[in-house]
Amino acid sequence: MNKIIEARSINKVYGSENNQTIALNNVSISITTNEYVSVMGPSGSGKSTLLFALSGMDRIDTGSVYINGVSLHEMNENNLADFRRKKMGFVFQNPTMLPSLDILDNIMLPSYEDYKKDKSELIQKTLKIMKIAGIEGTENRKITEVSGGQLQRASICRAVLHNPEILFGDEPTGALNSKSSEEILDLFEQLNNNGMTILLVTHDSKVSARSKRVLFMKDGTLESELIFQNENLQTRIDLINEKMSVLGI
Amino acid sequence: MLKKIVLNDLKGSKLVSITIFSFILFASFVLSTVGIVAVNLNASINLFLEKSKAPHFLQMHMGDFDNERMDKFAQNNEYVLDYQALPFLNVDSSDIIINGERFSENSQDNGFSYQSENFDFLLDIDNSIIYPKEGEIYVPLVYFTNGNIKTGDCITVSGLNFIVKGAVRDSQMSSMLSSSKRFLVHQSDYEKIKHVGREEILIEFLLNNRSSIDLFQSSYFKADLESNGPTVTYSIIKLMNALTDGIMIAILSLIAFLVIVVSFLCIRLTLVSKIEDEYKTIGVVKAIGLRLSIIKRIYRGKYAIISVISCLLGLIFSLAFSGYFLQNIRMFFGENESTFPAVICALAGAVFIFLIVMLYVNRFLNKLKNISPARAINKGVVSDNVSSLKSFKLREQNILPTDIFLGINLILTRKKTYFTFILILIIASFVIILPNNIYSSMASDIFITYMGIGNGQVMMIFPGMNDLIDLNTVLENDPDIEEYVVYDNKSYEFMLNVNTVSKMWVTLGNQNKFPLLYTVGHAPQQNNDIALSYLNASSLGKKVGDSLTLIIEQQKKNFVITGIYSDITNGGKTARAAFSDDSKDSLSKSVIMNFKKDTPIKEKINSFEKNYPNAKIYHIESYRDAVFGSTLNSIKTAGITGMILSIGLTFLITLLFNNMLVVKDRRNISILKSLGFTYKSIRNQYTAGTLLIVFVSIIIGMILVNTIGQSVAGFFIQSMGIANFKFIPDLGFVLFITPFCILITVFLGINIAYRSIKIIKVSDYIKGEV
Repeated sequence: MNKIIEARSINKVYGSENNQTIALNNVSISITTNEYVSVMGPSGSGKSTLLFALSGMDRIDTGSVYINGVSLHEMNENNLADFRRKKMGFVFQNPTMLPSLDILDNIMLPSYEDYKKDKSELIQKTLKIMKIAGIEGTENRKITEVSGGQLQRASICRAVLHNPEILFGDEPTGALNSKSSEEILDLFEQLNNNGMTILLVTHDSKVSARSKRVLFMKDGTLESELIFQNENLQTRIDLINEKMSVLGI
Repeated sequence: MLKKIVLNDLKGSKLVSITIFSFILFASFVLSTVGIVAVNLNASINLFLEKSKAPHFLQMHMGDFDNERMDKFAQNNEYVLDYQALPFLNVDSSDIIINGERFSENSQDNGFSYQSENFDFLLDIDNSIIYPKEGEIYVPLVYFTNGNIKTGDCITVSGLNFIVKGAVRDSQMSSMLSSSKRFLVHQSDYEKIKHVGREEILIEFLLNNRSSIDLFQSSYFKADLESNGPTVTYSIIKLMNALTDGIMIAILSLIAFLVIVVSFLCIRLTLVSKIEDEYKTIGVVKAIGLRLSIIKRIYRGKYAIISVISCLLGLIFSLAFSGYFLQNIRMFFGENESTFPAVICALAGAVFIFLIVMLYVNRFLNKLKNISPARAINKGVVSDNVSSLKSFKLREQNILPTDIFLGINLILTRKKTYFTFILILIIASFVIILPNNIYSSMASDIFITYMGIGNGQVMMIFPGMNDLIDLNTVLENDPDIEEYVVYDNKSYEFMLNVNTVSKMWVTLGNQNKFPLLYTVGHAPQQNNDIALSYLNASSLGKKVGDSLTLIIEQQKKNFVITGIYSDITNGGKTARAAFSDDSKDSLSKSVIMNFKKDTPIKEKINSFEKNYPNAKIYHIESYRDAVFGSTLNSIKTAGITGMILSIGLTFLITLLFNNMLVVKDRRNISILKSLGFTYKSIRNQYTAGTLLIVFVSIIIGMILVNTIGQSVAGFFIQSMGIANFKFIPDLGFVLFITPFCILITVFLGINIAYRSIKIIKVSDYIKGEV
């Protein structure tokens, strides 16, 4: 299998000289194409920092990150932005939508430049994805006129519209009720089944249980991992909780 | 505790605090200066008019004068306190030789006088009455200040040499708005040079009470006394003296007003962003039971400190530097004897600024009342009143690039946020364009028609009838003259009401050639048509279509008023008609002419002066410059100052506003960055929106200048007799230079402000929510 993400000995420190917080401490990780990986850990363990470092949204202090063999470290800001727009998709805890655009424009926004010559194709594609995500009919609504779950689905639609190679999720269900969370996780599973690599950051074992590999972080380091085969969901949850208990997370 | 919070707040927002401090300081400085200048102007003019004993009513007259009859009239008139008839010798400028050179470039009506006995004294620069010795001469102050003549110069008139001993402060004629200027000599010298010019009589009256000037004027005209020259009253004398500095006061007041508006906008901007930043904290302190008045005091503290210090400094600066603005007043009217009222007025200006700033802050902080603690604590951020537009969608537009669309969309969906910035840009373009429009209008060729003079190249005035026998033939046969028109200036009695008769100066002739600007109606064409000057129509209460009855050859004849025009000649109260009347002698004749292309106008004027030694001949352009030169210079200075201030202000506000905007928009910028938008792309979005705002603001500024600005300028100019003043803008300046200057300034400002977009880290504003 191809390594789609590879991080080698990455370090990241926040704060000034006298008041430093080590967010990532010599972390190395590799994720293969079409993997579905979760990173678990308590607040302040560095899991979100890891996600931002792997996606190139945050610069690391030392070490290196490769996406499909391309070093993010050697890219300038503009190239990184282009790379993100073409190869990656992001879903955050709170939907990150621009209030000045309606739902459809928000979803189409990052893909718009690539489809400028054939807008109708883009619109059709977007409507199709919205239907799959179960938010058809909301395209003309303002972002304040839909529910949190619908808005998060719209965020996912935006993140996957351009067929990214990797989908990053930072607590993607953190602000949703359990029913909406289940639906979103179903959607992720569906995307993964269709070939998309997914990396989620979460502190919820029910969420990480849906992935195929779970990484555990504590104080900026990767402590351990679980790889699932054919276990049922409850078994996975129990295994995760047990591991967390052992690690003192 | 409160002190610590306020000091920390000041330290934490240095740029904002310094900007607001500077604006309030400037507003306080300007308003205090306005107070000092206004008090000094009023006091100095009053003192000067008192010391010079300015006449309350002055009638100029050239020709036969019945002194005995005038004496009798003055003795019997109930309003008259004192009367005198003072000779004034009109001498052609070319007959005045200064240090061996002719004074002919000067287009003022220069004349000679000796000191009056009873009133209308000519004073020196210490405001003492001057009594020149034989061989000494005192010259009009304006020639001293503009460097034409200095003490010790030699002036020769008709071979008689005079040594310049000093300058004359003249209550009637010092102002450049007065076309005549008086040189003061000893009476015996006056008699020696009398043959050089034409003697005019200044018939002057001091009245018992200034409020009876109108009644006296009516009785004077009713008595059919000498009156073939302009009439001047005390109020006009005062107005003419005060106008130049009055315009400066008006402009300074306008600047103070604008600066204070801008200060308010800055305060609003900073308070809005401060409240947004501390929304949750406000909710918490409200929830724990802190009273609104205490919360308000925390926010008010910073502005109270800034206002007190800046207003005090503004006051000190105004006291220290007001001398610069008082130079003209001190030179033309003398020092104000009491400085206390000026200091009080300056203090009042500074206190006023402090109070309105605090009132504004206090009123604005009332908004804290509406913050619900529960909502603030739960939500944490002020809900941005942004919402997408129904009819402006990315997917529906085909022309604009995405960045430009997003930039414009950002503004259209957040009009309230941008309101302050737009307002400041509108004010800036208004302040830049308005003085320039006034200047270009007054400096344009057409403006002469507002002065009651046709738009020709040369004007000749013949005070008597002697030279006129062959005038028409000469003008007709002159190969250099393209076109000309001869006017007869006659005095007619007219029915003021059913029983009262008064007199009016009427200019007869072809009113279609070299037409004046008619504010209402049109030039008289038929024999029973008449047009009135604006001041005349106003004082008579007449409008177009009304009738006016003149008495011609003892017969009442009705005329229809066809038009109203602006005029500042002859006291502004004139009439124009097309009929001819040989039954009555002309008071004077005037000619307006245009020459053929490439005619040397100066040489033609010299040749006319030789052929018609008694005529006053003006190059109309120079005449306008002489009358309005100093006013034009004041306006030009105000324009340049306004432009520099506006550009500085625009730069500061652009920097301040856009810095705050980027801070406010950190989350949205992070979202865009996370979606793969580059720094350049995001900066382009903001730049596109800002440039759209600049264009819209400049257009609104232009519209406001041409509507409100024109009305305000017209209101001031109306007092001079010019009605319905219309701008004649310098299109190059308005359409290119102004937008270019504002655009470059804004562009520089946003380039600096938007640099902070680059350093916004996505992780700081999105990850933070986990």
